[in-house]
Amino acid sequence: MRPNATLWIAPPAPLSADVDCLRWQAYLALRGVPVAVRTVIDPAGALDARLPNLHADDALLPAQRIPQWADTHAPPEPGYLDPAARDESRAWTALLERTVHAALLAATPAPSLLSPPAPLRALLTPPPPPLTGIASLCPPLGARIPYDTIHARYCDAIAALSDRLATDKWFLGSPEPTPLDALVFAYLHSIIVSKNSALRTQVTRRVNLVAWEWRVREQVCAAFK
Amino acid sequence: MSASEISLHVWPSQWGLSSLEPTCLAAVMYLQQVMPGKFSVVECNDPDFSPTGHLPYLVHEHHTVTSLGSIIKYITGLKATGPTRSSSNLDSSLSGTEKAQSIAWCAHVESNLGDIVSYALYSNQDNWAELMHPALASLYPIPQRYYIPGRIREMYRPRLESAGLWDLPIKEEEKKPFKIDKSWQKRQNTKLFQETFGRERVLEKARISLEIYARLLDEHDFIYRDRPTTLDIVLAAHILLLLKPEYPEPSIQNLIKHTHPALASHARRVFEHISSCPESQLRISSTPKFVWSSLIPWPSTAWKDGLSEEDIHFRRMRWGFYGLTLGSMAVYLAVSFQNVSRHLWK
Repeated sequence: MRPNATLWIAPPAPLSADVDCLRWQAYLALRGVPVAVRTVIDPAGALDARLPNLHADDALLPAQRIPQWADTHAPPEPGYLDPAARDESRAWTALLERTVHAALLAATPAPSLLSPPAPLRALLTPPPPPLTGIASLCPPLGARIPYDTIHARYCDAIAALSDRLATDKWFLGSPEPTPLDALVFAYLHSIIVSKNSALRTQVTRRVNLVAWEWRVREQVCAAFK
Repeated sequence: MSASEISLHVWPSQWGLSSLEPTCLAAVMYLQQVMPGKFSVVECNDPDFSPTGHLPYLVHEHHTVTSLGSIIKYITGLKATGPTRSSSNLDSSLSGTEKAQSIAWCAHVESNLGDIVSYALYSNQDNWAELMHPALASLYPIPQRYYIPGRIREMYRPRLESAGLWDLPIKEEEKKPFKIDKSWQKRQNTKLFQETFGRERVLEKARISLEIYARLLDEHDFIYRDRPTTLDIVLAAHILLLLKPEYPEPSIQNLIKHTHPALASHARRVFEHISSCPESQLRISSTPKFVWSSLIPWPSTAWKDGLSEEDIHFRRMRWGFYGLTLGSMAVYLAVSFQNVSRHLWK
Protein backbone atom coordinates (compact mmCIF):
# COMPACT_ATOMS: atom_id res chain seq x y z
CA MET A 1 0.00 0.00 0.00
CA ARG A 2 1.41 3.39 -0.97
CA PRO A 3 2.16 5.55 2.07
CA ASN A 4 0.14 8.76 2.23
CA ALA A 5 2.03 10.31 5.11
CA THR A 6 5.62 10.96 6.08
CA LEU A 7 6.99 10.56 9.57
CA TRP A 8 9.80 12.93 10.40
CA ILE A 9 12.27 11.11 12.62
CA ALA A 10 15.80 11.42 13.90
CA PRO A 11 18.32 9.45 11.82
CA PRO A 12 19.13 6.78 10.85
CA ALA A 13 16.59 5.10 8.64
CA PRO A 14 14.84 2.70 8.70
CA LEU A 15 14.94 2.52 12.53
CA SER A 16 15.56 5.79 14.35
CA ALA A 17 18.20 6.04 17.06
CA ASP A 18 15.87 8.23 19.14
CA VAL A 19 13.57 6.29 21.47
CA ASP A 20 10.55 8.58 21.01
CA CYS A 21 10.81 8.46 17.22
CA LEU A 22 11.28 4.69 17.18
CA ARG A 23 8.30 4.26 19.46
CA TRP A 24 5.96 5.98 17.01
CA GLN A 25 7.53 4.20 14.06
CA ALA A 26 6.80 0.90 15.77
CA TYR A 27 3.28 2.04 16.68
CA LEU A 28 2.39 2.82 13.08
CA ALA A 29 4.09 -0.31 11.77
CA LEU A 30 2.31 -2.61 14.24
CA ARG A 31 -1.01 -0.99 13.42
CA GLY A 32 -0.41 -1.62 9.75
CA VAL A 33 -0.51 2.05 8.72
CA PRO A 34 1.94 2.64 5.85
CA VAL A 35 4.04 5.79 6.21
CA ALA A 36 7.30 6.91 4.70
CA VAL A 37 10.12 8.26 6.87
CA ARG A 38 12.25 11.34 6.50
CA THR A 39 15.46 11.78 8.47
CA VAL A 40 16.91 15.06 7.22
CA ILE A 41 14.79 17.27 9.47
CA ASP A 42 16.56 19.26 12.18
CA PRO A 43 14.71 18.92 15.50
CA ALA A 44 14.74 22.71 15.79
CA GLY A 45 12.40 22.80 12.78
CA ALA A 46 9.86 20.40 14.30
CA LEU A 47 6.78 21.28 16.31
CA ASP A 48 7.82 22.15 19.92
CA ALA A 49 11.38 21.47 18.66
CA ARG A 50 10.77 17.76 19.21
CA LEU A 51 10.67 14.88 16.79
CA PRO A 52 8.78 12.88 15.62
CA ASN A 53 6.24 14.83 13.64
CA LEU A 54 3.80 13.39 11.14
CA HIS A 55 3.29 15.16 7.83
CA ALA A 56 -0.10 14.02 6.57
CA ASP A 57 -3.12 15.51 4.80
CA ASP A 58 -1.25 18.81 4.27
CA ALA A 59 -0.84 19.20 8.02
CA LEU A 60 2.02 18.68 10.41
CA LEU A 61 1.03 16.80 13.55
CA PRO A 62 2.93 16.44 16.84
CA ALA A 63 3.54 12.96 18.26
CA GLN A 64 0.57 12.98 20.64
CA ARG A 65 -1.86 13.36 17.73
CA ILE A 66 -0.52 10.38 15.78
CA PRO A 67 -2.99 7.86 17.36
CA GLN A 68 -5.90 10.11 16.45
CA TRP A 69 -4.69 10.32 12.83
CA ALA A 70 -4.05 6.56 12.71
CA ASP A 71 -7.65 5.89 13.84
CA THR A 72 -8.88 7.51 10.61
CA HIS A 73 -6.57 5.41 8.41
CA ALA A 74 -6.60 1.99 10.03
CA PRO A 75 -9.00 -0.36 11.82
CA PRO A 76 -9.58 0.61 15.46
CA GLU A 77 -7.06 -0.61 18.00
CA PRO A 78 -8.04 -4.00 19.39
CA GLY A 79 -7.10 -2.72 22.84
CA TYR A 80 -5.97 -4.59 25.93
CA LEU A 81 -7.33 -7.82 27.28
CA ASP A 82 -9.43 -6.14 29.98
CA PRO A 83 -9.58 -2.85 31.95
CA ALA A 84 -7.10 -4.24 34.50
CA ALA A 85 -4.59 -4.85 31.71
CA ARG A 86 -5.11 -1.31 30.44
CA ASP A 87 -4.37 0.06 33.93
CA GLU A 88 -1.36 -2.23 34.21
CA SER A 89 -0.06 -0.90 30.90
CA ARG A 90 0.17 2.55 32.53
CA ALA A 91 2.36 1.11 35.26
CA TRP A 92 4.72 -0.44 32.69
CA THR A 93 4.73 2.79 30.73
CA ALA A 94 5.81 4.67 33.86
CA LEU A 95 8.53 2.08 34.52
CA LEU A 96 9.90 2.40 30.99
CA GLU A 97 9.60 6.17 30.63
CA ARG A 98 11.18 6.88 34.01
CA THR A 99 13.42 4.08 35.22
CA VAL A 100 14.67 2.66 31.92
CA HIS A 101 14.82 6.04 30.22
CA ALA A 102 16.86 7.46 33.13
CA ALA A 103 19.35 4.62 32.70
CA LEU A 104 19.63 5.33 28.95
CA LEU A 105 20.21 9.03 29.61
CA ALA A 106 22.72 8.28 32.38
CA ALA A 107 24.67 6.14 29.93
CA THR A 108 24.91 9.10 27.53
CA PRO A 109 28.00 11.27 28.09
CA ALA A 110 27.04 14.62 29.62
CA PRO A 111 27.92 17.79 27.67
CA SER A 112 29.89 19.06 30.69
CA LEU A 113 30.99 17.71 34.07
CA LEU A 114 29.01 20.32 35.97
CA SER A 115 25.72 20.01 34.13
CA PRO A 116 24.14 16.60 33.65
CA PRO A 117 21.51 16.32 30.93
CA ALA A 118 18.48 18.39 31.98
CA PRO A 119 15.98 15.63 31.05
CA LEU A 120 17.77 13.26 33.46
CA ARG A 121 17.20 15.58 36.43
CA ALA A 122 13.50 15.61 35.63
CA LEU A 123 13.25 11.81 35.75
CA LEU A 124 14.88 11.07 39.12
CA THR A 125 12.97 10.43 42.34
CA PRO A 126 13.95 12.02 44.68
CA PRO A 127 15.53 14.85 42.66
CA PRO A 128 19.34 15.06 42.69
CA PRO A 129 20.92 17.54 45.11
CA PRO A 130 23.45 20.09 43.86
CA LEU A 131 27.07 18.99 43.43
CA THR A 132 28.17 21.66 45.91
CA GLY A 133 25.80 20.29 48.57
CA ILE A 134 22.53 21.52 49.97
CA ALA A 135 23.95 22.97 53.17
CA SER A 136 27.15 24.57 51.88
CA LEU A 137 27.55 28.31 51.48
CA CYS A 138 28.57 27.85 47.84
CA PRO A 139 25.86 28.60 45.28
CA PRO A 140 24.24 25.40 44.02
CA LEU A 141 26.08 24.07 41.00
CA GLY A 142 25.57 20.88 38.97
CA ALA A 143 23.79 17.83 40.32
CA ARG A 144 24.86 14.66 42.14
CA ILE A 145 23.49 11.93 39.95
CA PRO A 146 23.26 8.56 41.74
CA TYR A 147 24.46 6.40 38.85
CA ASP A 148 24.64 3.22 40.95
CA THR A 149 21.06 3.64 42.11
CA ILE A 150 19.87 4.33 38.56
CA HIS A 151 21.61 1.19 37.30
CA ALA A 152 20.24 -0.96 40.16
CA ARG A 153 16.69 0.19 39.44
CA TYR A 154 17.25 -0.40 35.73
CA CYS A 155 18.34 -4.01 36.42
CA ASP A 156 15.18 -4.60 38.47
CA ALA A 157 13.04 -3.07 35.71
CA ILE A 158 14.50 -5.31 32.99
CA ALA A 159 14.12 -8.40 35.18
CA ALA A 160 10.48 -7.48 35.83
CA LEU A 161 9.90 -6.88 32.10
CA SER A 162 11.29 -10.31 31.28
CA ASP A 163 9.23 -12.03 33.98
CA ARG A 164 6.05 -10.32 32.84
CA LEU A 165 6.58 -11.08 29.16
CA ALA A 166 7.44 -14.75 29.84
CA THR A 167 6.48 -16.55 26.61
CA ASP A 168 3.58 -14.32 25.54
CA LYS A 169 3.39 -13.13 21.95
CA TRP A 170 2.43 -9.59 22.96
CA PHE A 171 2.80 -7.85 26.28
CA LEU A 172 0.19 -8.43 28.98
CA GLY A 173 -1.15 -11.36 26.97
CA SER A 174 -2.89 -9.11 24.43
CA PRO A 175 -4.08 -10.90 21.29
CA GLU A 176 -2.81 -8.06 19.04
CA PRO A 177 0.00 -5.52 19.40
CA THR A 178 -0.80 -2.53 21.58
CA PRO A 179 0.88 0.87 22.13
CA LEU A 180 2.73 -0.71 25.06
CA ASP A 181 4.36 -3.22 22.71
CA ALA A 182 5.58 -0.34 20.53
CA LEU A 183 7.04 1.39 23.59
CA VAL A 184 8.71 -1.77 24.88
CA PHE A 185 10.19 -2.47 21.45
CA ALA A 186 11.58 1.07 21.20
CA TYR A 187 13.39 0.76 24.53
CA LEU A 188 14.62 -2.81 24.01
CA HIS A 189 15.97 -2.02 20.56
CA SER A 190 17.68 1.16 21.80
CA ILE A 191 19.31 -0.80 24.61
CA ILE A 192 20.43 -3.68 22.38
CA VAL A 193 22.11 -1.33 19.90
CA SER A 194 23.54 0.86 22.68
CA LYS A 195 27.31 1.04 23.08
CA ASN A 196 26.99 0.69 26.85
CA SER A 197 27.70 -2.95 27.64
CA ALA A 198 26.33 -2.74 31.19
CA LEU A 199 22.90 -1.76 29.83
CA ARG A 200 23.05 -4.18 26.93
CA THR A 201 24.02 -7.19 29.04
CA GLN A 202 20.94 -6.92 31.22
CA VAL A 203 18.72 -7.39 28.16
CA THR A 204 20.84 -9.84 26.16
CA ARG A 205 21.04 -12.31 29.04
CA ARG A 206 17.25 -12.65 28.90
CA VAL A 207 16.45 -14.88 25.96
CA ASN A 208 12.74 -14.12 25.81
CA LEU A 209 13.35 -10.37 25.53
CA VAL A 210 15.96 -10.83 22.79
CA ALA A 211 13.73 -13.20 20.83
CA TRP A 212 10.73 -10.90 21.22
CA GLU A 213 12.69 -7.84 20.10
CA TRP A 214 14.08 -9.76 17.10
CA ARG A 215 10.60 -10.83 15.99
CA VAL A 216 9.07 -7.37 16.38
CA ARG A 217 12.07 -5.73 14.68
CA GLU A 218 11.53 -7.85 11.58
CA GLN A 219 7.91 -6.74 11.47
CA VAL A 220 8.76 -3.06 11.94
CA CYS A 221 11.64 -3.08 9.44
CA ALA A 222 9.44 -4.75 6.85
CA ALA A 223 6.96 -1.89 7.18
CA PHE A 224 9.64 0.69 6.32
CA LYS A 225 11.37 -1.04 3.44
CA MET B 1 21.49 -9.09 64.33
CA SER B 2 21.18 -6.57 67.14
CA ALA B 3 19.06 -3.45 66.84
CA SER B 4 22.00 -1.16 67.55
CA GLU B 5 23.77 -2.26 64.35
CA ILE B 6 21.11 -1.11 61.87
CA SER B 7 20.36 2.58 61.59
CA LEU B 8 18.10 4.14 59.01
CA HIS B 9 18.83 7.77 58.18
CA VAL B 10 15.75 9.70 57.03
CA TRP B 11 14.34 13.18 56.78
CA PRO B 12 12.90 14.20 60.18
CA SER B 13 9.38 13.41 61.33
CA GLN B 14 6.56 15.87 60.79
CA TRP B 15 2.75 15.98 61.03
CA GLY B 16 2.57 12.80 63.11
CA LEU B 17 4.46 10.78 60.46
CA SER B 18 7.92 9.26 60.74
CA SER B 19 9.31 11.40 57.91
CA LEU B 20 8.23 14.29 55.71
CA GLU B 21 9.49 12.61 52.51
CA PRO B 22 7.56 9.71 50.93
CA THR B 23 10.45 7.31 50.19
CA CYS B 24 11.88 7.87 53.69
CA LEU B 25 8.45 7.25 55.22
CA ALA B 26 8.06 4.08 53.14
CA ALA B 27 11.50 2.87 54.28
CA VAL B 28 10.61 3.37 57.95
CA MET B 29 7.26 1.62 57.51
CA TYR B 30 8.91 -1.28 55.69
CA LEU B 31 11.48 -1.83 58.41
CA GLN B 32 8.81 -1.51 61.10
CA GLN B 33 6.88 -4.27 59.37
CA VAL B 34 9.74 -6.74 58.84
CA MET B 35 11.99 -6.06 61.83
CA PRO B 36 10.14 -4.10 64.52
CA GLY B 37 12.34 -2.94 67.35
CA LYS B 38 15.50 -4.18 65.62
CA PHE B 39 16.63 -0.93 64.03
CA SER B 40 16.99 2.71 64.98
CA VAL B 41 15.91 5.79 63.05
CA VAL B 42 18.35 8.68 62.71
CA GLU B 43 16.65 11.95 61.77
CA CYS B 44 18.96 13.71 59.37
CA ASN B 45 18.43 17.25 58.08
CA ASP B 46 21.44 17.19 55.76
CA PRO B 47 21.36 14.69 52.88
CA ASP B 48 25.00 15.60 52.14
CA PHE B 49 25.86 13.03 54.84
CA SER B 50 24.60 10.34 52.48
CA PRO B 51 27.09 8.77 50.02
CA THR B 52 24.79 9.71 47.12
CA GLY B 53 23.36 12.91 48.60
CA HIS B 54 19.94 11.27 48.95
CA LEU B 55 17.88 10.13 51.86
CA PRO B 56 17.02 7.49 53.01
CA TYR B 57 20.20 5.54 53.55
CA LEU B 58 20.86 2.61 55.85
CA VAL B 59 24.04 1.85 57.80
CA HIS B 60 24.68 -1.67 59.02
CA GLU B 61 28.15 -2.56 60.29
CA HIS B 62 30.45 -1.70 57.36
CA HIS B 63 27.66 -1.43 54.78
CA THR B 64 25.96 1.74 53.64
CA VAL B 65 22.93 1.27 51.42
CA THR B 66 21.13 4.11 49.68
CA SER B 67 17.72 4.33 47.98
CA LEU B 68 14.54 2.60 49.00
CA GLY B 69 14.80 -0.28 46.53
CA SER B 70 18.36 -1.14 47.57
CA ILE B 71 17.45 -0.94 51.27
CA ILE B 72 14.55 -3.35 50.74
CA LYS B 73 16.81 -5.77 48.85
CA TYR B 74 19.49 -5.54 51.53
CA ILE B 75 17.05 -6.21 54.35
CA THR B 76 15.51 -9.09 52.42
CA GLY B 77 18.98 -10.61 52.04
CA LEU B 78 19.80 -10.43 55.74
CA LYS B 79 19.28 -13.62 57.67
CA ALA B 80 17.29 -13.12 60.83
CA THR B 81 19.03 -14.65 63.82
CA GLY B 82 16.31 -13.83 66.30
CA PRO B 83 12.55 -14.06 66.29
CA THR B 84 10.99 -11.66 63.82
CA ARG B 85 7.41 -10.62 63.54
CA SER B 86 7.19 -11.79 59.95
CA SER B 87 9.39 -12.74 57.04
CA SER B 88 12.02 -10.17 56.05
CA ASN B 89 10.57 -10.29 52.52
CA LEU B 90 7.07 -8.87 52.40
CA ASP B 91 6.66 -10.06 48.81
CA SER B 92 7.63 -13.70 49.44
CA SER B 93 4.04 -14.89 49.00
CA LEU B 94 3.67 -13.22 45.59
CA SER B 95 4.00 -15.13 42.34
CA GLY B 96 6.66 -14.20 39.77
CA THR B 97 4.12 -12.25 37.71
CA GLU B 98 2.80 -10.40 40.76
CA LYS B 99 6.34 -9.45 41.83
CA ALA B 100 7.01 -8.05 38.36
CA GLN B 101 3.71 -6.15 38.43
CA SER B 102 4.56 -4.83 41.89
CA ILE B 103 7.83 -3.35 40.59
CA ALA B 104 5.96 -1.60 37.76
CA TRP B 105 3.26 -0.31 40.09
CA CYS B 106 5.83 0.99 42.58
CA ALA B 107 7.45 2.93 39.72
CA HIS B 108 4.04 4.33 38.76
CA VAL B 109 3.28 5.38 42.34
CA GLU B 110 6.70 6.97 42.88
CA SER B 111 6.50 8.91 39.62
CA ASN B 112 2.83 9.89 39.31
CA LEU B 113 1.73 10.09 42.93
CA GLY B 114 5.19 11.30 43.90
CA ASP B 115 4.73 14.25 41.52
CA ILE B 116 1.37 15.05 43.15
CA VAL B 117 2.93 14.96 46.64
CA SER B 118 5.81 17.16 45.47
CA TYR B 119 3.33 19.61 43.91
CA ALA B 120 1.31 19.77 47.13
CA LEU B 121 4.38 20.38 49.31
CA TYR B 122 6.73 22.42 47.13
CA SER B 123 4.94 23.90 44.15
CA ASN B 124 1.62 25.17 45.47
CA GLN B 125 2.42 28.62 46.79
CA ASP B 126 -0.02 28.60 49.72
CA ASN B 127 1.13 25.20 50.96
CA TRP B 128 4.78 26.15 50.53
CA ALA B 129 4.52 29.47 52.33
CA GLU B 130 2.39 28.32 55.25
CA LEU B 131 3.21 24.64 55.66
CA MET B 132 6.38 23.25 54.06
CA HIS B 133 8.69 26.26 54.28
CA PRO B 134 8.14 26.75 58.03
CA ALA B 135 8.52 22.98 58.57
CA LEU B 136 11.85 22.91 56.72
CA ALA B 137 13.11 26.14 58.29
CA SER B 138 12.51 24.72 61.78
CA LEU B 139 14.96 21.89 61.01
CA TYR B 140 17.94 24.22 60.58
CA PRO B 141 19.76 26.82 62.65
CA ILE B 142 20.70 30.29 61.49
CA PRO B 143 21.96 30.94 58.80
CA GLN B 144 21.00 27.70 57.02
CA ARG B 145 17.29 28.14 57.60
CA TYR B 146 17.38 31.16 55.26
CA TYR B 147 18.69 29.37 52.18
CA ILE B 148 18.30 25.59 52.48
CA PRO B 149 14.48 25.46 52.16
CA GLY B 150 14.64 27.46 48.95
CA ARG B 151 17.37 25.20 47.57
CA ILE B 152 15.34 22.10 48.36
CA ARG B 153 12.38 23.64 46.57
CA GLU B 154 14.54 24.43 43.52
CA MET B 155 15.61 20.77 43.39
CA TYR B 156 12.03 19.76 42.63
CA ARG B 157 11.54 22.40 39.93
CA PRO B 158 12.88 20.46 36.85
CA ARG B 159 10.74 17.43 37.63
CA LEU B 160 7.57 19.40 38.34
CA GLU B 161 8.08 21.66 35.32
CA SER B 162 8.38 18.66 33.01
CA ALA B 163 5.17 17.25 34.53
CA GLY B 164 3.40 20.59 34.10
CA LEU B 165 2.95 20.96 37.87
CA TRP B 166 5.18 23.93 38.64
CA ASP B 167 2.97 26.63 40.02
CA LEU B 168 4.71 29.92 40.71
CA PRO B 169 2.42 32.89 41.32
CA ILE B 170 2.33 35.83 39.01
CA LYS B 171 4.53 38.56 40.42
CA GLU B 172 2.47 40.77 42.67
CA GLU B 173 2.53 44.40 41.58
CA GLU B 174 1.88 47.10 44.08
CA LYS B 175 -1.25 49.02 43.46
CA LYS B 176 -0.07 52.59 43.42
CA PRO B 177 -2.26 55.00 45.39
CA PHE B 178 -3.86 57.98 43.75
CA LYS B 179 -3.21 56.59 40.33
CA ILE B 180 -5.90 55.19 38.09
CA ASP B 181 -4.52 51.86 36.84
CA LYS B 182 -7.14 50.44 34.50
CA SER B 183 -5.10 47.35 33.71
CA TRP B 184 -4.65 46.28 37.38
CA GLN B 185 -8.08 44.66 37.58
CA LYS B 186 -7.47 42.90 34.27
CA ARG B 187 -4.18 41.47 35.60
CA GLN B 188 -5.91 40.33 38.77
CA ASN B 189 -8.56 38.57 36.70
CA THR B 190 -5.86 36.92 34.58
CA LYS B 191 -4.08 35.77 37.73
CA LEU B 192 -7.29 34.31 39.15
CA PHE B 193 -8.02 32.54 35.85
CA GLN B 194 -4.53 31.06 35.67
CA GLU B 195 -4.60 29.90 39.30
CA THR B 196 -7.99 28.25 38.82
CA PHE B 197 -6.98 26.67 35.53
CA GLY B 198 -3.69 25.45 37.02
CA ARG B 199 -5.49 23.94 40.00
CA GLU B 200 -7.95 22.13 37.74
CA ARG B 201 -5.09 20.73 35.69
CA VAL B 202 -3.44 19.34 38.83
CA LEU B 203 -6.70 17.92 40.13
CA GLU B 204 -7.30 16.20 36.78
CA LYS B 205 -3.86 14.54 36.93
CA ALA B 206 -4.46 13.48 40.53
CA ARG B 207 -7.91 12.17 39.68
CA ILE B 208 -6.58 9.95 36.87
CA SER B 209 -3.91 8.39 39.10
CA LEU B 210 -6.17 7.94 42.11
CA GLU B 211 -8.84 6.21 40.02
CA ILE B 212 -6.24 3.72 38.79
CA TYR B 213 -5.10 2.93 42.34
CA ALA B 214 -8.70 2.62 43.51
CA ARG B 215 -9.35 0.05 40.77
CA LEU B 216 -6.12 -1.75 41.70
CA LEU B 217 -7.19 -1.95 45.34
CA ASP B 218 -10.70 -3.03 44.27
CA GLU B 219 -12.36 -2.75 47.70
CA HIS B 220 -9.90 -5.21 49.30
CA ASP B 221 -8.04 -4.53 52.53
CA PHE B 222 -4.66 -4.84 50.82
CA ILE B 223 -3.67 -5.02 47.19
CA TYR B 224 -2.41 -8.58 46.89
CA ARG B 225 -2.90 -10.63 50.02
CA ASP B 226 -4.33 -10.32 53.49
CA ARG B 227 -1.32 -8.38 54.75
CA PRO B 228 0.70 -5.41 53.45
CA THR B 229 3.24 -5.97 50.69
CA THR B 230 5.87 -3.51 49.46
CA LEU B 231 3.39 -1.91 47.06
CA ASP B 232 0.87 -1.34 49.87
CA ILE B 233 3.54 0.42 51.92
CA VAL B 234 4.79 2.62 49.07
CA LEU B 235 1.23 3.63 48.14
CA ALA B 236 0.24 4.24 51.75
CA ALA B 237 3.33 6.40 52.39
CA HIS B 238 2.39 8.74 49.53
CA ILE B 239 -1.30 8.86 50.45
CA LEU B 240 -0.51 9.56 54.13
CA LEU B 241 1.61 12.57 53.10
CA LEU B 242 -1.41 13.89 51.22
CA LEU B 243 -3.83 13.20 54.10
CA LYS B 244 -2.06 13.97 57.37
CA PRO B 245 -0.65 17.51 56.94
CA GLU B 246 -3.08 20.40 57.41
CA TYR B 247 -2.74 21.89 53.97
CA PRO B 248 -3.81 25.54 53.59
CA GLU B 249 -4.85 24.57 50.05
CA PRO B 250 -6.53 21.20 50.62
CA SER B 251 -8.08 20.45 47.20
CA ILE B 252 -6.06 17.26 46.64
CA GLN B 253 -6.65 16.14 50.22
CA ASN B 254 -10.40 16.69 49.80
CA LEU B 255 -10.32 14.79 46.50
CA ILE B 256 -8.92 11.72 48.28
CA LYS B 257 -11.23 11.99 51.30
CA HIS B 258 -14.46 12.56 49.41
CA THR B 259 -13.96 10.83 46.05
CA HIS B 260 -11.62 7.98 47.01
CA PRO B 261 -12.20 7.17 50.68
CA ALA B 262 -11.09 3.58 50.01
CA LEU B 263 -7.54 4.81 49.36
CA ALA B 264 -7.58 6.87 52.56
CA SER B 265 -8.84 3.84 54.51
CA HIS B 266 -6.17 1.65 52.92
CA ALA B 267 -3.41 4.06 53.95
CA ARG B 268 -4.70 4.25 57.53
CA ARG B 269 -5.13 0.46 57.64
CA VAL B 270 -1.52 -0.12 56.55
CA PHE B 271 -0.31 2.46 59.08
CA GLU B 272 -2.30 0.86 61.91
CA HIS B 273 -1.29 -2.67 60.92
CA ILE B 274 2.37 -1.66 61.13
CA SER B 275 1.95 0.32 64.37
CA SER B 276 -0.10 -2.39 66.07
CA CYS B 277 2.95 -4.47 67.00
CA PRO B 278 4.11 -3.48 70.51
CA GLU B 279 7.74 -3.66 69.33
CA SER B 280 7.10 -1.14 66.56
CA GLN B 281 7.95 1.80 68.81
CA LEU B 282 10.75 3.61 67.00
CA ARG B 283 14.07 4.44 68.63
CA ILE B 284 14.87 7.84 67.22
CA SER B 285 18.05 9.87 67.36
CA SER B 286 19.21 12.90 65.37
CA THR B 287 22.33 14.02 63.63
CA PRO B 288 23.72 17.34 64.90
CA LYS B 289 21.59 20.21 63.62
CA PHE B 290 24.65 22.16 62.55
CA VAL B 291 28.11 21.02 61.56
CA TRP B 292 30.71 23.57 60.45
CA SER B 293 32.00 21.27 57.71
CA SER B 294 28.56 21.31 56.07
CA LEU B 295 29.15 24.94 55.03
CA ILE B 296 31.92 23.84 52.69
CA PRO B 297 31.44 21.20 49.96
CA TRP B 298 33.24 18.12 51.26
CA PRO B 299 33.08 14.36 50.55
CA SER B 300 30.52 12.61 52.71
CA THR B 301 31.79 11.40 56.11
CA ALA B 302 29.52 8.37 55.76
CA TRP B 303 32.06 6.90 53.38
CA LYS B 304 34.75 7.05 56.10
CA ASP B 305 32.48 5.23 58.53
CA GLY B 306 32.16 2.36 56.08
CA LEU B 307 35.89 1.93 55.37
CA SER B 308 38.03 -0.80 56.87
CA GLU B 309 41.54 -0.21 58.25
CA GLU B 310 43.03 -1.63 55.09
CA ASP B 311 41.01 0.80 52.95
CA ILE B 312 42.11 3.75 55.11
CA HIS B 313 45.76 2.64 54.90
CA PHE B 314 45.45 2.24 51.12
CA ARG B 315 43.94 5.71 50.87
CA ARG B 316 46.77 7.25 52.91
CA MET B 317 49.38 5.51 50.77
CA ARG B 318 47.68 6.77 47.60
CA TRP B 319 47.63 10.36 48.83
CA GLY B 320 51.24 9.93 49.91
CA PHE B 321 52.17 8.79 46.41
CA TYR B 322 50.41 11.81 44.87
CA GLY B 323 52.21 14.11 47.31
CA LEU B 324 55.56 12.50 46.53
CA THR B 325 54.97 12.85 42.80
CA LEU B 326 54.02 16.50 43.05
CA GLY B 327 56.88 17.23 45.41
CA SER B 328 59.42 15.55 43.12
CA MET B 329 58.05 17.47 40.15
CA ALA B 330 58.32 20.75 42.07
CA VAL B 331 61.93 20.03 43.10
CA TYR B 332 62.87 19.03 39.54
CA LEU B 333 61.32 22.20 38.09
CA ALA B 334 63.04 24.36 40.72
CA VAL B 335 66.46 22.81 40.02
CA SER B 336 65.95 23.06 36.25
CA PHE B 337 64.90 26.70 36.52
CA GLN B 338 67.93 27.45 38.67
CA ASN B 339 70.29 25.83 36.15
CA VAL B 340 68.71 27.61 33.20
CA SER B 341 68.79 31.01 34.89
CA ARG B 342 72.44 30.47 35.93
CA HIS B 343 73.29 29.62 32.34
CA LEU B 344 71.46 32.67 30.99
CA TRP B 345 73.09 35.13 33.37
CA LYS B 346 76.64 33.96 32.72
